Parts: sequence; structure tokens; C-alpha cells
Amino acid sequence: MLFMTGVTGALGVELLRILIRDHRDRPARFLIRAKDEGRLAERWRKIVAIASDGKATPADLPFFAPLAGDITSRDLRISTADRAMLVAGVEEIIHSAATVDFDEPLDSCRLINVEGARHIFDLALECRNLTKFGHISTLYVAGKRTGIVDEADLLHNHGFVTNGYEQSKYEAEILARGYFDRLPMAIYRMSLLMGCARDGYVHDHGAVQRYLKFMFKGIAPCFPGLPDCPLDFLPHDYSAELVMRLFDDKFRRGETYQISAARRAPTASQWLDLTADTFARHSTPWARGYYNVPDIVSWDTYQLYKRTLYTIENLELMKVIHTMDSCFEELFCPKLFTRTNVDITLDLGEETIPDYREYYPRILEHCIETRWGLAPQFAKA
Amino acid sequence: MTSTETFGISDIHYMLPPLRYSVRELHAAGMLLSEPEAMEELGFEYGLIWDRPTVDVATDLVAGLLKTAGIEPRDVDIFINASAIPANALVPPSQSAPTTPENRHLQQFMNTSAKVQDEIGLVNAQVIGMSEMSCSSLMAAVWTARALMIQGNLDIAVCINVDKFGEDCKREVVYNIVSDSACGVVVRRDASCNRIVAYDTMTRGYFWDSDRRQNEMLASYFTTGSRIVQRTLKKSKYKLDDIRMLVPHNVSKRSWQILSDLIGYPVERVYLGNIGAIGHSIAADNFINLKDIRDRNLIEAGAPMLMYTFGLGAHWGCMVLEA
Repeated sequence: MLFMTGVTGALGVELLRILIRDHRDRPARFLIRAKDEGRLAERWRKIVAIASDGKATPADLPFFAPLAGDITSRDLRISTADRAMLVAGVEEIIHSAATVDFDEPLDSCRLINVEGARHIFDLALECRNLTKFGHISTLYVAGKRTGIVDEADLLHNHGFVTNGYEQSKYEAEILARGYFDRLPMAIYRMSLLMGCARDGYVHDHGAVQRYLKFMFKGIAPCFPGLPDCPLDFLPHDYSAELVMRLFDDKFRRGETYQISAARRAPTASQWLDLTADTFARHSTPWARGYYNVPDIVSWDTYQLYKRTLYTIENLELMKVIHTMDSCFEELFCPKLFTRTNVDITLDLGEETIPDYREYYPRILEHCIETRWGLAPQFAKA
Repeated sequence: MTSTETFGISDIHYMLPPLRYSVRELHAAGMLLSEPEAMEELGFEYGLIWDRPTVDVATDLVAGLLKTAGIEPRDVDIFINASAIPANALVPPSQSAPTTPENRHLQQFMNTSAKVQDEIGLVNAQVIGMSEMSCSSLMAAVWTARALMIQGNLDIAVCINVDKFGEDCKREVVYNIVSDSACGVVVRRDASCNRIVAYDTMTRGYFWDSDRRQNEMLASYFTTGSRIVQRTLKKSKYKLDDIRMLVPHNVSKRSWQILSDLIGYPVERVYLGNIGAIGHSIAADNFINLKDIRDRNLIEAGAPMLMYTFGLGAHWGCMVLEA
């Protein structure tokens, strides 16, 4: 039996999509936060609909079952009977649940990302038949490091851009490595996930997508960073496929994999230019040059701009600043995330990494079409 | 937009409005939108207000300018009255002879430029009113005058900006303290100073509704600003490093710190000396600053300078001069 957390998340739903497509007869339990059975069923119905493009219902997936619970509780808020069922039956675990909100303070991030992981690790220790444990992490545990970041690298003292998210995921990886000798565990570090290459679908609109919304509306004046700084991002669906291939077909205990764009990551200025070009195809103010590609500015200039907006108390522009504050310092920390383990294990070459120029406009177009998830007619789920 | 013929701004004359209010007084009078502390942090100290109609100020201004320049009124070939606020291009009805209701529509054509021409005796001047380029209007007028002088083989143009905000209007525009204005310049063929090297302007009419699109305009202000500077420099023989001084319009000091950072120009060489005391005097700032820079010997003859302005609506303007 597979036990998975985080299925309602942006990566989780893509993992579920693969399970529905390729492993419908594989027994699986999905831990989902829900206050009662009714809400659990509703969340499960919705996530199955999303993962199957509306083609499947829970009734079509008799081997899959949701389980109400909460990773922040030591006992996962599941019954003794359910725990016993998991302990006896679980052979594989994918721990994907996490808060990925860049604004979330460190304390609450730790509760979910570190303590939540610990509770799943402890459950895993009890699972007598466990053969595989996949821990989903992020490339950005590297924090403010610069230069080449290899898959074996972890410990550093460079600090973090998003103190809550990055630091807690970093601490969770340290914790995970502490279980390496007791659990058959591999770590999968994910890139910044923008949306799906398939159709542009964006499950959760995070800080970057929020910034893109402000940019589309012409109220994102500047962009703090280095023009040549790579921005490593990838599509959710591609990343999920690699996780499942590594987990299902090529599982190797004690390994860390960076599912990164590596050298195919665009620079900050390439990313902004492509964003602007795409916007110009869908927006008159962009097409006519009323809105400009935001200037990429130094940290000092950005701080000056920020201070000015706080002085004049312009609430709308302060929201833009708040979004940029949450993560864009990353673009002063140029790094290359190598993926040797991934490529050797799966026999992949650099050319197989999705070209952002091909799929990224589709994600933007989806955001525009759905008004960043707010359009009432958007009923994919 | 360059020509082998040389034109320059030979003379500048300005007048400051007599009613002077501190930022805190303006706030107490309900004339600000922001807190006074915010305006002070942005570099503003005072706002200046005219105590009489702009047409009267304009007449005095042109008289003073011609006297300063030693020009006879009949020698002026072109006169351009560049008003940022269209209402200021009209002579107030109170100055006309009593009229009948049937003829009141004629008051729509009582133009300031004509009255000034008449009162000063600019009998040979082609008279033009420009009133839709907001705070960029005087710079645009100077360039227009230059073009007309080339086309008509003329020698002397007078361009002025005189504006007064409406009595009920706030004195804060997009986070800037606005003062009333009065500044005139003489543009001459073969002028020995302030030679006009290049000019460029960009209008983004999308921002015509400044209220509704204020935040978009604010975001665009800097990005478009850096582009107009680059474009204008490209039209001149100079690079940004060559520019000895940047002659700004008097929007907030903070905005100049940001814009100079963006374009890569040291803010120490942006003349910010008048922002606190005068505020943003509509379309006159650049030329008031230019005069003060010269009067205070802050620039050597022939050194390249760059002027930058912005007008709601929205218009960006930039000019390269040789001092």
C-alpha cells in the first residue's frame, strides 16, 4: 500500500494524476486535512476531479481512499485503528505535505514542514513492510548560497531568502537525513513550480504568480535582482513525472535528487522579457507599450522604492512590494542546481529538460484566462 | 531631431508666487491628501500660490523677460504660451467688457496668449497656445519654437508657462506638492549658451485618466523615464557619463533618487536645490532650475546637461543641452 501526504497540493495533485493514469489498482491512502468525513469526501471528490480532468470520481478508484488527518499532530489525528492499518499495510510513503507559503512565519512553517515531517518519519519507523519513503523537498534549501549547488550539498550558513519556508524545509532535510540509517528514504528536491506544461494549469497561485498578476495589471514597476541571475523553475507535471519515475522505477535509498532546470533555467531578464512578450499578446496596454518590462534594480534602489511606497501609504503598490519581499531576494543569489543524480539514474540529457520558452507562456495564458484563478467560469475542479 | 543650425535658450526669467505656505500649513488648510510628514520625507517644504490671475502674471513675466534679455517686443518672431492647465489659457470673464447672455460664448475665445501679445506689443510674433501637455508643456514649447524657427528662418522665440491651480484644488498631485508657476525663456538662433542638442518625448495616452490609472502610471513613470533618457541620449552625441548635470522637474527628491539609480546617474549631480523651497511648479521647474544652476555657477560653459520632465496624461520629455 502507498501512503501519501500532500495530495491536495500543487505537486500532490500531479502525483495523483499519474497514479490515476498508471496505477489505479495500486492500493493507496491519502492523508487529507478535513474536519469531518463529509468535508473529507468533498475534498477528495474535488481533487480526484482535478487530477483526472473531471473524468473520474472516487467511485472509479476503489483502491484509493482518503484518510482524514493532520501531520502537525504527533498522532496525525487518525484513529488507533487507522494507524494500525497503516503500520501493517504501508509499503511505500510519499511525504509531499508542506506549507509553501513564502509569507508564512518560521514558527508555523516549522510546525508543518519540520514537525509534520517528523511525525510521518516516526510513523514510517513503525511500518513493518516499508520499502520506500520519498521525502519531497525543495532546491531552495540552498537559501542564499551562490554558485554550484550539488545534490549532495545541504549544510550551509548563508541564511535564507524566505526565512519561514526555506529554512523550515532545510531543517526538515537535516531531520530526514537523520533518519537515513533507519528508513529506506530518498529526497526529491523540487524546483520553483510554475504551473503545468500540459495545459498551463496552476493549482495554487503563490508569490511568483501573484507578482505576475501585478505585472500584468501594470503595477509592478521594478524588480529586485541581478539581470543574469538564473531563476530555476519547472512545470509541476514534468516534475511529478520525474518524482514518480525515480520513486517507482529507480528508487535508491539515501539519495538526494534535484529535479531542476539546471542550465536551462532562464535568467531574470529573460524570464521578464518572455513574460512581457506573452502579456503583449493578451493585453492592449502591454501591446501598445503603456506598460513596460519592470526594470531590474539593485537592492538599494528596491529598498528606496519600498520605503517611498510605505511613506505614501499606497496600499495597492505595498501589496506588490510585500509579494516581492517574500521571495525575490533569491535573484541576488545566482546559483546552478546540478541534477547529475537525476540524469544518470533516469538516463536523461539536458535536452529533455522542458524549454521554458515553450511551456511558460501557456502557464501565463492560463493565469490570464482564469484571472489568476478568480474567473467564475473557471470550473476545472 | 538634430539640425546643423544652432539654437539655444539665451535668457530665462521666472517669478515666484507671493503666497507661501509650509507643508503643514497646506495640510491644516485641507490642501493635501497625504500626511505632512510624508511630504516632508519626500523632500517638500513649501507650496507657492499666485494671488492674481495668470494672464496678469503672464504679462508681467513676458515684460520682465524681454527687459532682461534686452529684446524689443517687435523683434519677437514667435510667442508660445504653454499652459499645463487649459483653463489658464483663458482670460477670466471678469476682465472682459460687460457682455450680453447672447454673446457669452465669445468668452471661450479670450485667450491669454493674444492678450499678452497685445499688452506687450509682440506685434510681429506668430502666437501659439499649447495647453494639453501638462507639466511637460514648456519643454515641448521650446522644441516646437526651435522647429518653427528652423522652418521659418526666424531668430527669436519667447515661450512661457504660467499656471495657477484652481481655488478648490488640492496642492498635492501624485504625492508631490504643486506650486503655481511663472517662467519664460527666450530661444535664439546662434545662442551662445544652453544650446539645444536633442529632444525626445513619449506620450502614453492610456494614462489620460490619471485618477483611475494612477498606480499604473506610477509604475510606468520610472520604467518609461529610463527609456526616454536612453532614447534622447541616443539622439545626441553624448553618453550618460558625459552629462555633467541633470536638470529635473521638481517632483519628490525620493523619486529622483530612484530614477537616478535606475538610469545609472549619480543623484549628487541632479539639481535638487529647489524642490523643498519651491515645490513642483508645474511646467516651469526645469527652466527655473536651469537659471539657478547658471546663476550659481554650478556648471561650466558648454558642458552637457540633461533635462527631464513628465506631464500627466501622460507625457515624458527629455532634452539635452550644452550649457
